[in-house]
Amino acid sequence: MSNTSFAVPRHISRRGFLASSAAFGTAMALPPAAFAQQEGQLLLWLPGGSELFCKIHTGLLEGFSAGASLGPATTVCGLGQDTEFTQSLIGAITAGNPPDISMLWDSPVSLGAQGAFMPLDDMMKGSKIPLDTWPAGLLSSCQFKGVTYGLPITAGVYSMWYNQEMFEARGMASDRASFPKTWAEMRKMSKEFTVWEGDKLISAGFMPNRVPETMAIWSALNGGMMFDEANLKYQIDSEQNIEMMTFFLEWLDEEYKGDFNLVDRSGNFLDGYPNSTTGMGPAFREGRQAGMQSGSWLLGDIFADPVPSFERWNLAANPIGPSGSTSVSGTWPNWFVIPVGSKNPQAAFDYLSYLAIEGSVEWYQQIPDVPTNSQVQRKAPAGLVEKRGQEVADDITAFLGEQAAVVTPMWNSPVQSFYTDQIARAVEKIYTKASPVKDALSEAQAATQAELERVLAG
Amino acid sequence: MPITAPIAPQAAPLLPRRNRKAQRAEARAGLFFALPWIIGMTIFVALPLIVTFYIAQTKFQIVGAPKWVGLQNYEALLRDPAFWKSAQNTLIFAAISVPLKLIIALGLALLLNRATALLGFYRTVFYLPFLMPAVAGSVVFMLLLTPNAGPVNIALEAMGLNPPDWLLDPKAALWTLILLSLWPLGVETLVFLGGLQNIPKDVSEAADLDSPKRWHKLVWITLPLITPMVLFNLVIGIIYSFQVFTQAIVIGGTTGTPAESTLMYMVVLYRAAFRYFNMGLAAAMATVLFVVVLILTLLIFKTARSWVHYEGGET
Amino acid sequence: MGAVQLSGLRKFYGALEVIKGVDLAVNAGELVVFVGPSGCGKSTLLRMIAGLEDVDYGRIDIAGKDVTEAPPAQRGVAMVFQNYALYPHMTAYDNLAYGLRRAGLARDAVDQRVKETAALLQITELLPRKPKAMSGGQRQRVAIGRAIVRKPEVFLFDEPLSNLDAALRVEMRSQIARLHQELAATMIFVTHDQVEAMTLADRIVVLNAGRVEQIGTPREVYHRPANLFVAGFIGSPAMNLLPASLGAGGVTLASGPVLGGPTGTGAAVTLGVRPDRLSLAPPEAAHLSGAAKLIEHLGDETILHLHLDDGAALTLKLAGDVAVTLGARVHARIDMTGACLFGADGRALRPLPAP
Repeated sequence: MSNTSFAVPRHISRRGFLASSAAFGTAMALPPAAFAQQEGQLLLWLPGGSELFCKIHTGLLEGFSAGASLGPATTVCGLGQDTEFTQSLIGAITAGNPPDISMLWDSPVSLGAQGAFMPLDDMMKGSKIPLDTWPAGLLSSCQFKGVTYGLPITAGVYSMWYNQEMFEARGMASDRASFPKTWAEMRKMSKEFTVWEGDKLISAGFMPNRVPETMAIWSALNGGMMFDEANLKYQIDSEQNIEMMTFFLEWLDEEYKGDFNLVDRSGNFLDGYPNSTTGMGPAFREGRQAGMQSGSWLLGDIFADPVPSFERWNLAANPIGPSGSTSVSGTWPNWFVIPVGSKNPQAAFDYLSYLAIEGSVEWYQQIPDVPTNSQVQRKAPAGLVEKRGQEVADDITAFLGEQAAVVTPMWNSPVQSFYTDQIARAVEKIYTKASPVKDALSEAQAATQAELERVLAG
Repeated sequence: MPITAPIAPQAAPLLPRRNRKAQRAEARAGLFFALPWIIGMTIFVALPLIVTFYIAQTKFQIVGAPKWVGLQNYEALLRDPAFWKSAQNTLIFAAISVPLKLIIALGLALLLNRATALLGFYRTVFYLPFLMPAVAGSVVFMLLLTPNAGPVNIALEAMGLNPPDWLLDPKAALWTLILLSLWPLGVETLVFLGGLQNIPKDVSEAADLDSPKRWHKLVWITLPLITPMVLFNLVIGIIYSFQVFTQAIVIGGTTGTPAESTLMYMVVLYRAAFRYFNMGLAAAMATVLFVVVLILTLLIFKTARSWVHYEGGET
Repeated sequence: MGAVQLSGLRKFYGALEVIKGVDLAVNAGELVVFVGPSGCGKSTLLRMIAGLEDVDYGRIDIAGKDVTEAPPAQRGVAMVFQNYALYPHMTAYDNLAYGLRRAGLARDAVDQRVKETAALLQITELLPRKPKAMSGGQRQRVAIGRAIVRKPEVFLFDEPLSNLDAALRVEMRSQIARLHQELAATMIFVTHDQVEAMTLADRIVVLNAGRVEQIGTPREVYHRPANLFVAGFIGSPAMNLLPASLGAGGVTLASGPVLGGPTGTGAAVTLGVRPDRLSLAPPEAAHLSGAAKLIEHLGDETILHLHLDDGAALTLKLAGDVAVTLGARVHARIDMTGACLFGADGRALRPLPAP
């Protein structure tokens, strides 16, 4: 039994990591163990993660292999991040020598649609994890044209995080039920917290969204969508999306001097992690930001350095936009795939079944990536129980389970990365006023739709 | 003019038979010794190049087989605003950073050429950054240049200057990238230093005897004598600057933030290949880059005849 | 043309003193040759005059001006280097013109001066060529031209002929001598070649270990070496130096024979005899005897190296082709005419009559 680890701090935000890591892996050589594929012995690749993350997965795979009378298993942790990892994986697949199982931090749809991963639908039929045990919106992140190319075994679930103590200090109710239900309410409440000192933002309420990956959630909250998978049409410049970006832009102008650069110079108001390039601490944990949207992975990291300046915080459902009707959630899943060419496809699938139902419980307890299969009996993360008590931890766990069931489809495009880059570009143009909302979105729409059609053209 | 007599079959000078045999053997031996390199060049240079030219005319999404599409990828390139924007950024970057780098490297080399006692030490110091991964260096620079808390801005503000927002201002970010690209100067400096030290001491002294002005010697004697190194650094510098990647992607990500001001050609190529899995387009971009750099290099070599003096080391 | 005055020059490399206090006056129009073994400091001294080496102590005057701290180009000197040091990227014409142009001379004036100089040195046909297209001798002529064209107060030559083959060296030597006469220029010439020194010099400066051992005309240093070092260094083959004493009968060799000359009370001296002042003699008339160890037949003369009975070496220079077999016993007689005597301190005693 072995694991080969390139420990990468998972302590910083996952998005920040993915964005900045493309260049890191170029010099990284694959360890020989990464190619030791053999029949009867499972080989698992992980794209990265902390030592603990690696240890958990190594342990789970070893335990499963021993129980299933398989040969010694191998877990390879971190072969370079993001696109570097993808490069390594593609290389192994095209060479006909892939791992039996690979975890992905990027949607399996693009590569699945190209035939890199095994379709899982036949194996799922009659297994412990049939299609109907998965939240549809979540599973769609692995599906293209009705074929399932991977499983979102666990997921970071996006919801609103808020500082209860800041709410209470201003005489506001801090229970989940009282959290703003609409964007308008949230924006109104936000002003109460926002304090400028010259061009320095001392404290803030909430921020208009500018994370490209989560823009699909906000679009759905406004009754729209970014990608209509059924009709293979992008809808980036739909009425709802134009309304959304216009709302955000007005909000930025009204409350944040129309300039995210001023915000960024004042601290990290973007997510709950220290900024990996500027080193600035997270405003939320510093008690300078009333609330933000974050993935549930922050549960595992929030008590680490920098320790929050307050004790009580809570999670709430994402508020809905002017044209929206119901709250939805979104995810950044940990996808698992069986690459084409796996020597042990059935054993690999059996392991995924085990991981989906039993293994993910242990995983969630140590690192709170939320198990997604409906049959999972979730247990609250140990760290959360220790810090906030069993009741709060159970409540949050239950809430995240509910949220995982109402995720909106995202990550479901065969041109996912192209779309993300186009959204990033449009959002930047809008917020810097380089381009009117409609023009920026239309440009992104045209480019992304064209790329989609090019890829689909066969 | 009608040919009236048969032309002698052997126009080449006749060598004694044994001599010709020996020559052939020598040629065979030469080929034999060069064979590993010929094979290596074929496998690692020529073949990938040809494959790239081929893939550029296919639709190839990495997995699966390439499909012939003719010139579609090139047409798509011409329509792609990212291609033009990145080409423009890269040209500006190259046009500024290459001469700047050459001048600074030359200045450093001239300084080093004087400090003979500590030369070994300085040489090491100047080469060290080259051993540091570009990513790590870029991150360090980004920390240095952070607004408010960054030491650079603190220092500039202390001097009463109004520092730019190095990484966030679209007008400044490309300059930041240029500044950053200047950093590992070690190789250029060492090449220049090698050239300077190759100038015979007595030639330099003769110049001292001919004119008391330092710049006379620099302009009329030293610079002409290191023109081979200038040529080398220029060509290598252009090739490298057209391929600026690591610093660009660390600062600007795959979208060249802010406002696509750091979107470099190689970033667009890279994201096409490994983010969008559009290998055909990436190969077309690679081909265009290859041709442009080739033409530029040939042009430089052509002009080099009139300004590069290869007599440097001889006396 | 200017005179050169060196006063108390000293130079150190770290703790090592390489020039140990040199005083020297070179008269205007004079050709002075610095000669000495390698490492004696002759090149360093020349480079100090040129300004290419710093002066630690002392002072240098050229044409009546203190130039101790002046940069090389402002001393009124021109230098010809051992390796020619032509600018490799320039034609001969540009090599000559460079200094004039930098000094701001008008184009026509430059052209005229270059062409005059080229004519003087017969290098006009070389003007369009670059150094790599020239032979060593041609390069050296161009290098000399580059020095002349600037009309300096003083010419400095740093072993300029040592890279040339023997025939070319003789030719260039005579050309330099001719130039010296035509230009009536002050020249300082460094060489380790005695023949160059003897043939070119108005005066020779013999240097050893950073000190001046003797200054004098070629004849003076040859015939009246000031000390044992000069005696041993000047002249080829070298002067024979024999242990002796001044007895009642005059100079007495340690091996016994009395040679006459100055008398004394037994003070130990060294007798210096040029090899050509020795001749073969019958055993009964001989002063010294030994075995022939090496015989050099030069055609018009024969150099005979003897291994004396007391173990010392003796060199004879005999006119004509003398037939001696190797190992044969040879008897030699000393002609005291022009012989030198050196005291225990190595300095010359009063000179014997010149030949």
